[in-house]
Order: sequence, then C-alpha cells, then structure tokens
Amino acid sequence: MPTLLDCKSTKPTQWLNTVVAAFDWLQAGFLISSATGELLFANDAAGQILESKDGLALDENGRVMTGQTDSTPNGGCVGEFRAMLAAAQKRNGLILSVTRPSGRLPLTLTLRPSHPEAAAVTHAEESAVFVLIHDPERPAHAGIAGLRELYGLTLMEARLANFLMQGKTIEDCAGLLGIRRTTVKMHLQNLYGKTGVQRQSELVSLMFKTFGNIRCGAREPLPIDAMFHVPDQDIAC
Amino acid sequence: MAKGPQAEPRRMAASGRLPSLGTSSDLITRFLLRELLEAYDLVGIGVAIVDTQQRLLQSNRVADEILARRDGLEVMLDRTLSAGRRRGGVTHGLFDQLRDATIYYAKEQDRMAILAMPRPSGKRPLTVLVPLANLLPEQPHSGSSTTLVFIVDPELPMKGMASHVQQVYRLTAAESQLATLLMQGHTLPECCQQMGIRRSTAASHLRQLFNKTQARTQGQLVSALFRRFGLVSSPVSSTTLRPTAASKTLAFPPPKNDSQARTFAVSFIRR
Repeated sequence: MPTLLDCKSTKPTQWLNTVVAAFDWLQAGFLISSATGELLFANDAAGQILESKDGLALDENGRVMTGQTDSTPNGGCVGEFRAMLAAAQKRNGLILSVTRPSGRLPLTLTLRPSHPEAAAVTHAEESAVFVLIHDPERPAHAGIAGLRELYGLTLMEARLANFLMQGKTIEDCAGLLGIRRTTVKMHLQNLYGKTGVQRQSELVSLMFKTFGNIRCGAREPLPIDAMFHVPDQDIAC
Repeated sequence: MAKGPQAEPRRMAASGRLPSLGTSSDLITRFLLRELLEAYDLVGIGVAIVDTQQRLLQSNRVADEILARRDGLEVMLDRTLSAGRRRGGVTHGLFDQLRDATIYYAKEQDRMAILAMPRPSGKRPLTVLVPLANLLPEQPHSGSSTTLVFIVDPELPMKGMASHVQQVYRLTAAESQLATLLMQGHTLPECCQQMGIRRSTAASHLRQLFNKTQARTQGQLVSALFRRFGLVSSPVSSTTLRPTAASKTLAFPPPKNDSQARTFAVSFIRR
C-alpha cells in the first residue's frame, strides 16, 4: 500500500490542513460531531444546510439537532440527533432519512463512527461520528466549465446536461433554455455522441459517476434558475 | 437559496477544534488524517495527497484500489503519480497534463482543474480533479506544499446501494435491483438480461419505481436517486436487516470491514 509516512519534505500537519480544506469541494454536506452531538467540523455544504434550519440545525450551545430551531422547545430535538449518533455507534454505521419541516424532500444522513482506537490515540474523552448529508433539493451540478473541458461540449450542451442532472425533462429544458423541443433533441443527440451514451438515464448516470459529487465551479452554487442565465450573446448554438 | 449571513461563528467554532487536535503530535495527526481520508471512502471518491513533485504521500482506500489496478493512473517507482508508461514512451507529469487541459481565466481560480484519464482496459476514463489554485506556480498557495488530487472512477461498483434504496423508498428486492442497475447506467434491456426477467416484468417494476419516487422518466429516476444518495457506499453489502427503532433506518453490518479497519488502525499505531 502506498502510504508514505517517511517522507521528510512535508509535515503531516500540512497534509491534514489540505484534507480539511478539501471537504469544501464536496457538494454533499459533511460534518463531524462528538458523541454528544457537539459540532466539531462542518464543510461549506453542511454549514449551509445547518443554517437553513430545515431538518438539521444548531442549538445555541453548538449542538446539532433535528427539526427547526424556532418552533421546538430546547433539548428535545438535540436528543433525537444524539439517539441517531448512539445507534450509528452501536451498529457501526447508519443511513437514515430526516424529514423537513418545510415539506421539502427529506435529507439523507449517512453516519459512520470513528474508529474506537481514535479516541484512545487522540486522548479525546469521547469518540466522533462522521455525518454525510445529501440534500436532494440542493442543485447537484457538474459545473459548465468542467463539462466543457471533459467532453468538449458547447455551452448549450453543457447547460442541457446540467438540467438533466437536476431531473428536468426535455420539455422543462426547452422552456428553461428558451429553445424549441426539436432543438433540445438535436443538442441531446450531440451530447450522446460526445459522451458515448445512448439514453438520457445513461447520460445522467454518467454525469453523477464522473464528477463524484465534487464541485468543479465557483464556491457559491447559484440557485438553479439563475445558474443557467447567460447573456444572449454568449449562447453558442 | 437564500444568501444568509455567512456564519463565521459557526466556522470558527467548528474549525477551531479540529486542527487543535492535530497539533499535539505527529501520531495523532496521522491518525486523524487517515480517519478523515476514510470519510471520502463513504462517498466513493479516491483522494490522494501529493507533494509538489507529484509524489504520493497519502491516499484513501478508494484511491488505493484504483491505483493498484494500474489502469489509467498509477504510482511509479519514484512514487510519483502518473498516467503510466504509454506506447510513445514520454510521460507528462500529471500536473502538466491538468494545466494543459484546463482553460482558465485569472478571475476564476476558485475551481477545479479537471482531466479525463483514458484507460488501457477500455473502461470509462478516470476523472482527476485538482483545485486549480494549487496548480498555478505564480500563485503560491498560503505556504502549503501539498495538494489534494481527487480521483473518480465512473465504473466503481456501488456497494450496498441496493439496500439503501430499498429501505428508504420501501421497494421490493427486484425494484431496488432494477433501480441500482439503472443508476449504474444500464439500459432497460441490459437490466432485463442481468436480472433474468422479461421486458414486461421490468416495465411493471419500473412503473412501481416511478410511483414511489415520483419520477416520470428513467432520466428523472436516476437523477432523483443520485441526488438522494450520491455515491454513498457501505463497505459490505447487507442482506439481512433487522427492523430498527427509528423508521427508515438501515444499519451497515459491522463485521468484515470493521475488523479490517481495526487491524489497520492497530498497525497504524504501531508503525
């Protein structure tokens, strides 16, 4: 196994900073919580999810809680999250859905406890739990630039591919891109040719699997509709 | 998405804790590093830490598996990460290739440089992503001499996905198998062949899937599943699931991987 711990040129502390900083490139939320629900680390996406206070939030003591901050008495929801952490530690991993007060699609949480040895090595009083959060309502996008470079797509093709990743239909795409349905179909055929797929579902699958949920573009993902607004003269089609 | 005030206190509180653990000793740092890298195993993303000479310093399990196959990307004798020896002979450095492949403007450095690595086996190319800022020599990035390389294998098997999908959407075994095959990019006829069912049976499963996920087309279905689960992979696929206290929960079975992980952790401490 290529683990290279004898390398003198750099310090592991530096590597650690590199890894920590890199979590912000994940489009999925990632947070580390102590066994009692205290937030130890959150990446950009997890921070945004917590701030929206819809499904998951932080209480005034910096503990992660389920539900909404404003409407619930203190403590109850913190307890629910703590119960999830306990279950995750007992089973060595857990996947579950968290419903949201706003009625949007539930969050999917994947919990994985840190190794039992971790607490001993780091002299921490309690072990930590890694929590991965998928929010189906957050626009998952591969980034126009990334798509264009990887497959040599035109701007229009890249925007179309992005819409299909969001689960838009051909009709939706025609409306959003301001072009006719037949034109969308033509772009779609070109997309298939450039990516080597034959079907829409195959294309969507390829996009997700190729980019692995890593953000390629700017840090602040724009709202889905604004993301595709490009001044007219830039549209290459 | 409402642009709320950026929660600086949140980040301060959060990031304040983690590096402080790391400063105490090399051993702790290395252990923590390994733990954090393994978090990427959960999302099925290979991660490698390389120095400025593109030598591999540390990697997670997914990256190890990809590199061990020596198909598209591998570790050379001098420990550099490289596309491997091609027929032509001359191999460019990975970073040079990335720089060449990326069109960028001075203003947009907050993005990824991206490269498709073709594979001799004929499989879908690997995607290699490196933060662009780390590639630009004229922009020394805050004194750090290491950079992170993300490696994504589009053909990585999605371990355990079927059971996650089945639990969360309350599907039958056949429905979840079909859903997972579609997620992997198979066409409906291919799914029929793999599952050994007739086209009409597959069509009825598909109708049920559309009902349960509120999708109208196969493309929408695949999109919904990926947005819901990402590339989450549990280390071992589970077959028997006990009902759990909280609804819609699903446990990773503890056994094999945990002992492997534990063995690793122990060996790691000893080293």
